[in-house]
Amino acid sequence: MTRSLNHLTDWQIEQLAEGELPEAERQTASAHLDSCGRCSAEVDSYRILFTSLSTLPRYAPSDNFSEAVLARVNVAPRTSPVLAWLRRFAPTTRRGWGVLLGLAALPAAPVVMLVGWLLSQPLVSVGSLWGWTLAESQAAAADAFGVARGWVGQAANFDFVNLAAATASTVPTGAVVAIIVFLAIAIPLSAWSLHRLLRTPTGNVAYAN
Amino acid sequence: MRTKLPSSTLDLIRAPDQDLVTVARSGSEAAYRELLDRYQRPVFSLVYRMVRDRELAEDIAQETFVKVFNSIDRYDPKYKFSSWIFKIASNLSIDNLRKRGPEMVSLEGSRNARTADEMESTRITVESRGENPEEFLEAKELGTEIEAAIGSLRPDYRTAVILRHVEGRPYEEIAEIMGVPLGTVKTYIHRARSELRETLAHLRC
Repeated sequence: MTRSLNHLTDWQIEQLAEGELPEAERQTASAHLDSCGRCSAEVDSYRILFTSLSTLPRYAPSDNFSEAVLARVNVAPRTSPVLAWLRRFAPTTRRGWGVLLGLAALPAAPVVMLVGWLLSQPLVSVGSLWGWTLAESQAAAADAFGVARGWVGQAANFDFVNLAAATASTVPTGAVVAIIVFLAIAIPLSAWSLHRLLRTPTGNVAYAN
Repeated sequence: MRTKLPSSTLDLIRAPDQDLVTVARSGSEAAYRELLDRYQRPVFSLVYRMVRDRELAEDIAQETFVKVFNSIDRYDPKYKFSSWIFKIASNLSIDNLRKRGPEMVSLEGSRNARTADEMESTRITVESRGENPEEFLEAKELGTEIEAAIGSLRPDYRTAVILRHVEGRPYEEIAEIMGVPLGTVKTYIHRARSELRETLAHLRC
């Protein structure tokens, strides 16, 4: 893009010809064109070129183009409403993902520091620390299993029928009606959502996937 | 406030691209068809001018739509839908040109054509808006010359100049489509114009 002391630059000429030159520059450029045949001819030449290019036709593909494309496209709904809702909160930039991963990694920092401090103690080695962690994990798992087994045992001996009858007699009629109404709305709504989610595509087209 | 999404055919025709994409994601075939109606000509024209072979252009344009539609759930509405689809179309076209190696400019039909019928069906035809036969012929010749001049540009200049002057896309969108800085797009377009003016210099009165 050469610049002459008196003439407009190539880029100014092009911008002027396509009407993209900023207003302030345009006034100065227009004033120059009034007295410069060379720049004026250049602008005209570019205008002719741009007009010729803009009037070139748009070509059409074959008549069965749309059907050929749709035959290879999976038109069915892509994401479940829950995923679509969750996606709204997902970061949209690399920086956003960086911040999110940073926040997720934050709890790891104190653990790493604790392990580092423990290993710096004279009586603690990697082997002893690993052995202790393993033994403690096994003991915690055994405790949790015992507690869960106790719950299951209690539940097996429980008289559910009597409990249900006793509870029903204490529940107010209004609450029972509210629960029935809630179920009457929620069940068809869930069924409709599931239908929407699993709906097969319509139309006389074959689908990929 | 959330705006109502289009549902009827008339609504779809009037709907902006972003809304159409949202409706398409929910499984509406009509929304996909509307997107196809809007973009099949611009996409096909871009690809056709890039590869200059009707059959190949059909394949690449189809591949473009299939790629876009099958990954429509990954579309980011912050960007224009047109930028996304043109980006895929131009990338596929340039990939194809790279695979094919050095090109031959021919508006008389595909160089892969083996028969006269194939030549005819793959020939780039230039329509005219002229009113009488003389004007038509003149415009046709001019159009053919311009198409040939565009075809002689290197692929990135060609993409930039087609998007700018045939498709009328703003510089910023072209930068987005081509994945290059705005300054680079301006340079491409400036050089493409200079080459076009040089190639078409004999047509000036």
